[in-house]
Amino acid sequence: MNNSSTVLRYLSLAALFVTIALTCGIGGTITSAEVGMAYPTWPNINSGSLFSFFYDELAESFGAGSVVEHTHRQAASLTGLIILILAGYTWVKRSVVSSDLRKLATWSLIIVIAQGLLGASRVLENDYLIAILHALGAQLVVALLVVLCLKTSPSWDDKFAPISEKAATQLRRWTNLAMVLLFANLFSAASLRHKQGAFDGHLTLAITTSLVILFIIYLVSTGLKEHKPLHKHARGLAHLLGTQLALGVAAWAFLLGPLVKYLPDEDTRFLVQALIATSHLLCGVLVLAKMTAVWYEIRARIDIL
Amino acid sequence: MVACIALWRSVQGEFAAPDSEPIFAASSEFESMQFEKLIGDYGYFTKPQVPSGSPLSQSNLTHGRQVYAINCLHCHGSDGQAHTPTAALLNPPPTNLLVGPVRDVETVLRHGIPSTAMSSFVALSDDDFADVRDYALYVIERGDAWAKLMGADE
Repeated sequence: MNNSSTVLRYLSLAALFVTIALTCGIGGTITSAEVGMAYPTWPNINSGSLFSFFYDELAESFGAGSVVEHTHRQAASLTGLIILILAGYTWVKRSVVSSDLRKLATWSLIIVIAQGLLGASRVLENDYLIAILHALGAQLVVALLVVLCLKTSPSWDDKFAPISEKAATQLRRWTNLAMVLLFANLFSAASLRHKQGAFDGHLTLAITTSLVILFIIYLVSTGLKEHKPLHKHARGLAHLLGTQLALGVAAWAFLLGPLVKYLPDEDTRFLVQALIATSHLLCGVLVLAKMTAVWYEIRARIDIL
Repeated sequence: MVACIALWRSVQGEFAAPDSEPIFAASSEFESMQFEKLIGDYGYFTKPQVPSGSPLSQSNLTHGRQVYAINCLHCHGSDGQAHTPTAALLNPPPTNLLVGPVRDVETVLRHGIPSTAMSSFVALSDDDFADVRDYALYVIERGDAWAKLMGADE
């Protein structure tokens, strides 16, 4: 692995970590606590800018909700900055960096900029459709960063035993379907989180998507035993899917269903609901990340007999 | 096919917002009697009705409450008093609709209140906008009626 690949790998991993742990985590908290409009201006707030660290002043002037919103914007800026450096690096080092990586990094940058503008429109227009698209855009950034992480991995060029064309086609079809279903499911989840869609739509999509993913895990576990990275991803995907389904049931029970009445007061309800809903969202992002890894491994790394 | 129908429901289906009637705890028998009178005229927050003759009596307040539950409840509360965990995270705090200074509801909903979390709701459909506006007016009118009923104590 040469120096450029190492730099790109660390930048991709850093961007992925910041995007999931900070930007998506804090963004999910904002929706759970419903403080997206804690302050309605963009990009500046009060006398400060996006890069001001004036949390005490902000909390005093606009309430604690504005601090959460400001932190989300700062985390998103950090994501943008890392991806900007990543994309810039692929262009500066274009003689040694593959055009695939350069295209991926450039697309990541374009989408992250669009995400920033969507986030601004969401605040300035207070339109739920924009909020839903903003949530979906974040998943697209995650998916692109996962592919970048895979392609810059030191073991990416390792070869594995080829499989039959029929098996490869079957896997590709099912993983393509799973990716389409996952994004449709994420759209329906974002729609539900912003109280714009019916619960049955999300439930049906979640069950359908889970069944397809389970079938893929079965196919990988039984037919691709030699392919260790793919096996590892499929095992991780199975664990994440189980956790996500459990969190989904908890989210339904504590947010919409029969257990709401057991939460003693409004503050406890708020905390429990925010915690479960945000965990469900974050686990959903991780499921997407793992599924993207499986999808891309099958698409790019399976040799046919 | 199943996924397409489910996706359609996710876009077009109506969100059933969890909603519950705030519990009223009367501090005296008089207050309890006045509350009965108020309910007789105005119904409950979640099952609103307005006395005949009120400018709001033809409004679709039940739908207005549903729109309120989705868009307003987290800040203004189930009873319009803005005692919610989300309200506690905002400064200035959301208006208490029962006693607040806001009376020009149409303008506030259309343009929001600058530099506050109260933003414009023009993105709502015409029906939703009209019904939630009328529901907010109902809560304000109900608050006025309650103040009058309690004033009878003096």
